[in-house]
Amino acid sequence: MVNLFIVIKNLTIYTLILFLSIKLLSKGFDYTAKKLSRANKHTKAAALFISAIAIFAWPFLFADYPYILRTSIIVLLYIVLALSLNFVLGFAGQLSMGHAAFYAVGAYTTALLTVNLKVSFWLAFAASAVIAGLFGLLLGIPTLRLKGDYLAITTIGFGEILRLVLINWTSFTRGPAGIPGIPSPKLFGLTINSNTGYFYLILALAVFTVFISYRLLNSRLGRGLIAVRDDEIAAEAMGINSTYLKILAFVLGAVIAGMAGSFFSTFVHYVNPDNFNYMESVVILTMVVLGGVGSIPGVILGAAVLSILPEALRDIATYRYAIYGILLVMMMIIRPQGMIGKSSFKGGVRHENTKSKKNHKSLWRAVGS
Amino acid sequence: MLKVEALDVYYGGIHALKGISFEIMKGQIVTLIGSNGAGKTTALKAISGLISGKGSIKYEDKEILGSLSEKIVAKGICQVPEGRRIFTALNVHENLMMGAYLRKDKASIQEDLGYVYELFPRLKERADQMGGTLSGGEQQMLAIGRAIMAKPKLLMLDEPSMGLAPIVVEEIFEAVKDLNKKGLTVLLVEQNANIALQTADICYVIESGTIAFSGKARELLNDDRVRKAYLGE
Repeated sequence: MVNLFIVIKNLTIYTLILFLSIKLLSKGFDYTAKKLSRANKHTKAAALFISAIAIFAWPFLFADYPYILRTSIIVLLYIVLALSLNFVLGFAGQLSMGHAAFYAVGAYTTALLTVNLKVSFWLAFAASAVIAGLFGLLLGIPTLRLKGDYLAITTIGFGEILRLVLINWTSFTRGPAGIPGIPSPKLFGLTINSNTGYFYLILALAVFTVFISYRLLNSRLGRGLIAVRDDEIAAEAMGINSTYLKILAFVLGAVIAGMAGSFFSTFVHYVNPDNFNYMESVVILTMVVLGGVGSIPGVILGAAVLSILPEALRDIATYRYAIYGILLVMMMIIRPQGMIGKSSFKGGVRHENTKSKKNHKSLWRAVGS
Repeated sequence: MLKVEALDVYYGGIHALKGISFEIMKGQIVTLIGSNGAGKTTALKAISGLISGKGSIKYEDKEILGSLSEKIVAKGICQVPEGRRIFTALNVHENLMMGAYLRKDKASIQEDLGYVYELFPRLKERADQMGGTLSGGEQQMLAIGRAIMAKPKLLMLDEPSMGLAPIVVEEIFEAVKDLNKKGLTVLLVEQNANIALQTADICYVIESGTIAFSGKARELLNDDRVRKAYLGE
């Protein structure tokens, strides 16, 4: 009984701390987002420049702390994965619950090609992207006519089938034993096998993914996707082929998840089916929802927080997953739009006609009221 | 221009349109009036390819029943859906540009954008405002403007007067007349029979899935059956 009392006391304290930090951080995020949207070009460029330098210098600052470096690599990997799901969930508004399957396809493609056929990593990387994309296409064509819950169930089914195939097709995938000995990538005769090397590799992939995200969002296709998510009937009445756009987003998400999988297999040098179970899909989904569905800075932050949190809470190991759970419940109650919701940055959509000051002010008044 | 013949539409087991036929000539404003659930919106949806049906819908002598909606929009038929259905997460300018989604001719898109802003100056004032923050009347203007951006030959309006103040309704119907004078053919679905009959050339009255009667709009304004059932006299 005494133990139970202590557990409840501790959980109450953690809950209170979480509540206060969510409240405080929410205020902070909103304030920064508002300031940033209002800031002039130079301030924005300066902020971007400073953060770019900080990220590039990161491996040198922590060169003596492999733990921090490896955690940073995992954070970046999850940023890529969460952003790849954001194409499907955030832009196209489709609830896909089997995203880890595409991650697995990428990882296994690279593993099988480099270990069995001794193909170079870069070729295997491209093949992973293509094959994951093909799987996305094959799954997307029949399922994206479905909506909401139905799509969620089919994608869960797909993820499970793929995992079971990986476990049971032992002659091809070595089953539960997994595939060890995946080589490191070589670049210009140099082997990338240091944490620093891997950091820059995944950073390049993350920057590429962020770039594609913004590029898509501000394009004709991206606006088409937002229109479909907003109101599919109206979008179709405007002549937008919603099925095509949804499949496009799905394939793009699968391709990038495949690239992340390829990176994962060369970074860990070993893959097995347990890396890609249903929980993995749920974790990726949680990152997107917690960060802010459809908001690129939000998704990045969500992925970072949820991949650092289990590490940061190692000291209070017993309560780790309880806190994780409480955080999710509280976030959904206090701040359902996510840490940085679409509305705080307006989804990163650039506004083409913001030249006149008067319009700008009236816009803010309207948003504020 | 558009000829609907013996069109049947079912929603599961419900027979919503029972073999209706009507015709729209180039340059006309044709209105379909009728009470709730008569099948007016269903007819529009069938023409835009949003639902399927049996029978025949010929547009410029070509069968379009069963085509994909995007093909139909590309042919020049554009619908302003009921309840306006503005993209709330896009601003006014972006909403209008969504209308031109299938068009590639940048110069003439800009020209049409200028025309929409001229037709509805209030949209220009609010070009940067999010679609969801507009008033009902402004949303209706935006929905019509968005459809015009698709450069249609036939514009279909579904209940443009719904939920709007009389003065705004007048403003919107003035704009519709203006568009018609510029050569646009209009198919208007309305419950507000009074304003529909004052605006249109030809009127078809739909009652529970069939055309009850039709005629020149001016004449139907004085028709006893219409006055009793739809004008509340």
